[in-house]
Amino acid sequence: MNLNNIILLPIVFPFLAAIIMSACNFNEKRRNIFAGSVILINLIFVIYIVKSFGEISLHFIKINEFLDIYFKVDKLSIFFSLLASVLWSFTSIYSMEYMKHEKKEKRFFTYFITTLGVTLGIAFAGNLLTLYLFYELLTLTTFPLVIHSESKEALKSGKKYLIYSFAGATVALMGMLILFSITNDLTFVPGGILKGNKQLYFVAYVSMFIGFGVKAALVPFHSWLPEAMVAPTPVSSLLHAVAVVKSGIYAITRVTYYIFGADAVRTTGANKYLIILVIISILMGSFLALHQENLKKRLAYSTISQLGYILLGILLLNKNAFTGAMMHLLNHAVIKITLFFCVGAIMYTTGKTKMSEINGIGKSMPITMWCFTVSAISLIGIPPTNGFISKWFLAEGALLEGKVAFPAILLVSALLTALYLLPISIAAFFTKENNEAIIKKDAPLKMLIPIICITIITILLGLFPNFVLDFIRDMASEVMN
Amino acid sequence: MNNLNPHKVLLYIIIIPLIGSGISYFVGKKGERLRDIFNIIMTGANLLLITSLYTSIINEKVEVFIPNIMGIGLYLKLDMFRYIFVWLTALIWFLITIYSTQYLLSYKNRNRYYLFFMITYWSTLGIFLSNNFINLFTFFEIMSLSSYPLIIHDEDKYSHEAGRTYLIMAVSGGLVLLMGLFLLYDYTQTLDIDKIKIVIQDIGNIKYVIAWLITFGFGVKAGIFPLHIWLPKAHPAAPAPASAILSGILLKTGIFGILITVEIMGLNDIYISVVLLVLGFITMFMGGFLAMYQRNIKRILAYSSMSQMGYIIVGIGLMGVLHEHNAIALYGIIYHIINHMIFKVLLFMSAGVIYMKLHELSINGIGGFGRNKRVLKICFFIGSCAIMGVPGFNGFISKNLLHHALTEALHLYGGFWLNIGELIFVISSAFTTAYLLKLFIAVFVEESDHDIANIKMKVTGRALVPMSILAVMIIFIGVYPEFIMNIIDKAAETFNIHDTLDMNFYSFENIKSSFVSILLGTLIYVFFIRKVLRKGSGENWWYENTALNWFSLENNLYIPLFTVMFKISSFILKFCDEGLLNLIVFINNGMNSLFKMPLKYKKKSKDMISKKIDEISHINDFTTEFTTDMTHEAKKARYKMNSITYSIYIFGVVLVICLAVLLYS
Repeated sequence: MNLNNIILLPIVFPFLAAIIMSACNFNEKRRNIFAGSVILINLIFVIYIVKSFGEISLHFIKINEFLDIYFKVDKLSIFFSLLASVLWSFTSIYSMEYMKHEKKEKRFFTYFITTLGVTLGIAFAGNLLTLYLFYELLTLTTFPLVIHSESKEALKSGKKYLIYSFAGATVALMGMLILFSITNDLTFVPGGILKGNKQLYFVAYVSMFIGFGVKAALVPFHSWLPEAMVAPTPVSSLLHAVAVVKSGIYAITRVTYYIFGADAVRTTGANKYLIILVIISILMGSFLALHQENLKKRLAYSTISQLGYILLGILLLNKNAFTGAMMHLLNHAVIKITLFFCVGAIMYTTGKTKMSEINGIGKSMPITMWCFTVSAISLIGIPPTNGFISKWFLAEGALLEGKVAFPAILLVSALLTALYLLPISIAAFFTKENNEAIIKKDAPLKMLIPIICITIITILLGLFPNFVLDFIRDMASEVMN
Repeated sequence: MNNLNPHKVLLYIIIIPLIGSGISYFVGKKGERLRDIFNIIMTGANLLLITSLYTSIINEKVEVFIPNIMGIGLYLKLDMFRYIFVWLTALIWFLITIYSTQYLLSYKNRNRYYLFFMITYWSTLGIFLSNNFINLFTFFEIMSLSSYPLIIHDEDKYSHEAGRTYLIMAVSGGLVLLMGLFLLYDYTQTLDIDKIKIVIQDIGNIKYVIAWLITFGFGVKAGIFPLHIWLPKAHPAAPAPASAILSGILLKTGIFGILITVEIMGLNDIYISVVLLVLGFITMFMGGFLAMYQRNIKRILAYSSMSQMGYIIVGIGLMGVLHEHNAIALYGIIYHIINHMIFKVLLFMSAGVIYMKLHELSINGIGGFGRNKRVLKICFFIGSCAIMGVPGFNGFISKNLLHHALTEALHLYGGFWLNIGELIFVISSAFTTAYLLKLFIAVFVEESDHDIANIKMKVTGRALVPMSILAVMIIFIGVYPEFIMNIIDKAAETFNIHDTLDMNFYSFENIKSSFVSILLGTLIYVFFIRKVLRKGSGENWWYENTALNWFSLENNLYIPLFTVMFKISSFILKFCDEGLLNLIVFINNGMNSLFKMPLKYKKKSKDMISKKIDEISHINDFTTEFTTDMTHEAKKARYKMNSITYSIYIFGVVLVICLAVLLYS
């Protein structure tokens, strides 16, 4: 048996575990232990593969040049798969407590575990077809999570989610087919596989960018994201931090740097037009977040804006910008997941969801709001946090291209971020609550521990980023010269 | 003590306040007295450590580099120039901590106050010690954020409004500063303050843009016009010790940043200096002018700080203008910074003592209180004389140095504008005297109908000791200026100025010019303030503030401007948000109405009516009218196409086409 088959293990194992979970009828405690251990074991598998095997690949099924399921482990896969696995572990602990309010945990955990497998499939995909396959599967497995509460609103949002996702994937498929017809090859190779300059490349690139961009909440295809806030908080945090949106970004990164290559994209000139959409995303997300009363919707629009930062870094096509984009992918994931967890903790403990209701909860939930404030300051990009570092690289990358307007836009967006995030902390800590007695009741332990752990990761990434920075810089050198 | 490695001591200085803030928070949860004692010991210990470094700094500077923090490492440097700032910061923080333990007894949330107080201390020290622009920026931002909870400590409506203005200005200023740093790094590829000096000259005109962006960022903190709008709001809102820190130290961090930028980075240039001169004069004038109208003690002192910062900015501008003769401007700047730190803190502490007893800050409410409070009167008198520049007090020395620098520039260049500048200088000094007289006489001399002169109040030791230390320092520095001048000699080396200054401060010339402005100020007080602003007579008097209805920079310019921009952007971006959806819904509705449009057509049909009755069967021509629509028609067409007839028909057509293709290819 080919030793490379071990790549399949972390992808298939969750599927099997999910089948077992849906077949058997666990009680609450057993189910929690089962789910938690499955995800932790998966994490161990991923770490094992990364550590002992380095870069391996596997042709799972190869029918012809096009229909080829190909898995590969390279630096970008290691990055994304580790990020996903670690954050999944924390989310599972969090959801064990949170889902007590939401009921139907069995169905939730089944699809939760399955989505982990699918995301790892995306991470380990070695060519566009495999990526596309798991991408579509991702939509399917996250759909039951989105409509979990089965209310009318949830069903409507779920329908919208499906339509957007499938429409986007179809456009991406069109791009893939055009591409295959020219190059006869869809494998990911650092630096790209294209040579020469053909007009059709422009169409292929733009359609793939937009197609995958739907999942990455590119304006104007972003409306599904705020609507998906009806989902329970672990789902929202997962959707907005790790699985869905970052998969879209991951796919775009693969297309831009591992299929086309930076020079080819520059030659097609597509990046000039697409950057307009990205700039609108950045500004619109930050701006409209100011108008939202509901805390989760505010964070959703914030996500749209932050994903714009990452897409900007990808489209600038130089090493600094790429480093900034990948750093921000990591930083935004940890920050956003903390922010969502804190908001979810507030909803779980007190039932409050609006800006106007949260006066003074800093006194009753101090640890939660402290972690929220630390993450909020990181997102604004104030040193010495990790958000500052990714912003620095993005701005330097933009200046290298000679575009002075882009750092200015990033800073305007940072100001808007401060304007919509800081009032939450200020209302929580420095405003007197409205005639309610202060019962010091912080979030339950199972929710608090992931929040604290991820906040600590955020702080460490800000103070000692060199470990991750060097890794990403290696990735950048591989991909560009 | 001398055996301690100065590098290690430098590290301790930075670490102690940070750890101390956390420890004091936890100790405070157990017992308040314990925490107060801990805080006093901690700040005192830090002060002692810093003092011990004096002997090493005299000889050479101390540098420490810690790699890997924040990616580029922490680069700290201490030379005599920075030492002045660091030592004074430590001293004032020590004295204010002692004062706060008395002052805050009537406040809530003391633990939180001390936590953020010490974090501000730590970050301020970091600013003065940083030798790398990113470290400086980091500490600068931390300081802005950690001073916010001090300002809104009372948590009432006014504090929140002041805090909001403060925070927005601080964050915006920080972001503009960051833009400058982005550009700077892009062009010079380094952010070490020493290295930038070498490469800065080669980068061309972009250096003006960078200098302006960075000066904007620091200028928000220093209170330069037109970025000063947070100053008069934040000072009255904060508790008195926090106001003292704000005016005394935090404003100086902005000045420090501008000094570093303009001088050490080699951006000393005629264009930059002239604009700084103009802004400095405007700030100086407006601060003094507006201070005369105010009735709130702290707000008078806040505008006074703004005015004094204006003096320092004028000094910085003069440094650039004077080229080789700029030693005198530099000495003036540093001396005035030292003086302002001392006397402003003394005045705020005195105002705080009044507030502790009366809980009132308006001079209309506290008139006549200080008539028989001897200790307080003396402290206030010393502080006021210091700002006014009365000979014998420290302000006299620094004001004269700056005035001399200005006259030097007049000698070198002459010209209309510099003469106007000289005029503004003298008038602003007069304003200083005027508003201080207003304050002093209203509170300490006049009789009023509030029966409060009889309220007894003893200035307790914890407030008295810091104030007296500062008062003694004022007189000492005023009477014996050589002490400070020697220190500044060493500090000036950082600016490549090596000639020492030999000045006779108590010459007849200087004393005369000082008395001219004091006299002018007294005249302004008598004829303007007493005549115009003071209403009522005898013991029943009050002051009015006619400036309240004037054009307010914040309310009449900034807020409407940003509101308009906000509304326009919201409109455009909301359109983008819903744009795709509205488009699709619009197309959908359009298509729906299009397809559901009724189609009328007439159809001729032959109908056979056959009735069971044999004789009657006739063929009729009917024209019937149908109403139908496209959807129906489409359905009908689809139905028809699926029928067998049509299938065979189509099959036949396809066969014929194949035949034709085969025949002709």
